[in-house]
Amino acid sequence: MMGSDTEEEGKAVPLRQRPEWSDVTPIPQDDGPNPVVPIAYKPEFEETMDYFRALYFNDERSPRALQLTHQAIAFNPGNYTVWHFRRLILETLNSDLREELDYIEQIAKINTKNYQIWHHRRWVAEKLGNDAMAKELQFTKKILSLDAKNYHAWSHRQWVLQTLGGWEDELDYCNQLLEEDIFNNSAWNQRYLVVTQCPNLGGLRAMRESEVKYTTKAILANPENESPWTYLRGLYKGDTNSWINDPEISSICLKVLTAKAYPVFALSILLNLLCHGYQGNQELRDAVGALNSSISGKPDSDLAKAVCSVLEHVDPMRANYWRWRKSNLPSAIIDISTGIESL
Amino acid sequence: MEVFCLSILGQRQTSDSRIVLLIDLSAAVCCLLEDWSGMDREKVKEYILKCQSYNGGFGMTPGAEAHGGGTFCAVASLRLMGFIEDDILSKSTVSSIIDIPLLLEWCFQRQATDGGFQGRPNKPSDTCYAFWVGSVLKMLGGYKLIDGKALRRFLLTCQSEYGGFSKFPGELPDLYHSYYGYMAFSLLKEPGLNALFVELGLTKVAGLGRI
Repeated sequence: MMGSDTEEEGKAVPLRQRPEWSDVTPIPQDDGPNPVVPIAYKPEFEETMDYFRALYFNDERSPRALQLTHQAIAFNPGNYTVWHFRRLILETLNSDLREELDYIEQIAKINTKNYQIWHHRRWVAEKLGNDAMAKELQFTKKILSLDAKNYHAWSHRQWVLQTLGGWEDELDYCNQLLEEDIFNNSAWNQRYLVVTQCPNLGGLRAMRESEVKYTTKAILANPENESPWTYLRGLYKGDTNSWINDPEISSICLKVLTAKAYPVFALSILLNLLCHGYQGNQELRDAVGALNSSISGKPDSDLAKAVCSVLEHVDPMRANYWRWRKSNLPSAIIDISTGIESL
Repeated sequence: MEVFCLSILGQRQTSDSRIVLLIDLSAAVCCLLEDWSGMDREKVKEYILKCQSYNGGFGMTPGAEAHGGGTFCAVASLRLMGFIEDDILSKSTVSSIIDIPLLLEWCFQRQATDGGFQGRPNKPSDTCYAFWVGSVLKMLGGYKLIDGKALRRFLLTCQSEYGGFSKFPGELPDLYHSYYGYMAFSLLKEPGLNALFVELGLTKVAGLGRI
C-alpha cells in the first residue's frame, strides 16, 4: 500500500496530490443541510471515501478502484457498500479469488466478528466451489484456535461441510476441541451436526450407543456442565420411547445423584423422563428421597413432585420455574408407589 | 430459500448466515406496514422450525448452535406472523409448532450464577441477552418466573458511571448494550421506563404510535 507513494515514513501521499488520480473529482459525503451528530472524520479517511464515492458513482471497476476499496476497508471494514463494490470489481477484472482468500484472512484475524468480512469470504468460497473446501476448513480452524466459540467461524464451517463437503475429520476435530475444553457448547453442537448429518457415519440411531458412552463419560467428569446433558437428550430426539426406556439414562442420573455431585441437571433430566412416562425405580426414589429429606425435610411420595422440590432448593435461581413445573406436571403421571394417577 | 423474504428488503443477497435475523427484520417490516404480501409465511415458518436446536433454543440457520439472538428472532418472527398465541404458558394444554417446554428450559438455563443472562451455555453473561432471552420468556408468558432481583443486580454492575451500559461488568459502555440494557430494565418494570412491544424490539409507543 505504501511503496513509492510514501512521502515520509508511514505517511502516504494524499490522493489529490497523485498524478494518476488527477482525472477524478472527489465527491464529498452528503450529510444534508442540518446533519445530526456529524462525525469528525480524519482527513485521510475523508479523502479516501471522497475518491471512493467518485469511482463508485461512475461505476469504475479498475485495478485502481480495487486498491482503493482495500484502503477504504482498512479504514472501516464495516462499510458494506465498499465490500459490495469490491465484489463487482473482482468479477469484472476476473481477479484470482484465491489471492482474495489470503487478503480476507489477513483482515479477518484482527476482525474476527465482522459480518461483512465473513459474508465476503462466503461469496469468494462459493465462487471457488469445491477447490476452496480444504482452505475454508483450515481457515475456520485457525479462527477457532483464537476463539473456539466464534459464531461466524462455526456458521461458515457448517456451510462449507454442507455445501462443499470435507466431513471425514470433523468428528476428530470435535474430539480435539472437547479435549481442550469439555464445556465448549459450540463443539458439542458441531458434534451433533456431524453425528446426524455426516454422510458416512450412518446417522443418529447408528451412532447413538457410542455417543451415549462418550457423553456419559463427559457428564461424570463434570456433572455441572450443561452441554453434555442436553446433548444426551438430543441423541434421543424424536424417539421418546427409547429415551424413557434406555437404562443408560436413568443410570447416569442415579450415578450423579448418589455421588453427591452437582445434581441440578441430573434432576432436570429425571423430571423430563418422568413427564414423558418413565416410571422411575427404587434406587432413584431413594436417592431423590434422601436429597429431599436433607433439604426440605418434607417427604413426597410423588417422585416428580419430590424432584421439583429438591430443584427449588438446589437451583434457587430457577426456584420460581421449578415451582411452576411442580404445579404443572402432566396429568397422566402414574405414581407407581401409590398406584394413583397423580393430577 | 432466503431470497424470497429478502426481496422485500429490496436487496438480493444470498448466503448471508444470519437468516433468522433477516426473517425477523422482514416480518417486522410486514407487521409495521400491515402488508404480508411480500412474504410467504408458511415457507418462512417451516424454515424457522428447522432452526430449533436439539437443546431447545434456535440457531441462525438449521444445525447452527442455539443462540440468544437467534432465539429471539425465531420466536419474535413466529409471533409476528401469528403462529404463536399470546401467553402460551398459561394455557392448560401447550401444543405448538415448536417444542415449547424444551425452549422454555433452555431460556431459563441462560440465567447464570451472576444473575445475568448468557447467549449460549457456558458463556459469560452479557447485558443484551437480558433482552434477547428475557423477551422470549416474556413472549411465552414465562418472564415472571426469572430471578428478577439477581438480574437487576447483574445489570447494575454493567451500568457505567458515564451513563449507559456495557456488555460485561466494569467495561466501557456502548450504544448497543445501553439500548438493550434499558430494554431489559423495562422488562423488569423499572419505574419511568416505557412498556415494550417486545416482538419489534421497540417501546409500545414507538411500535404502535400510541401507548
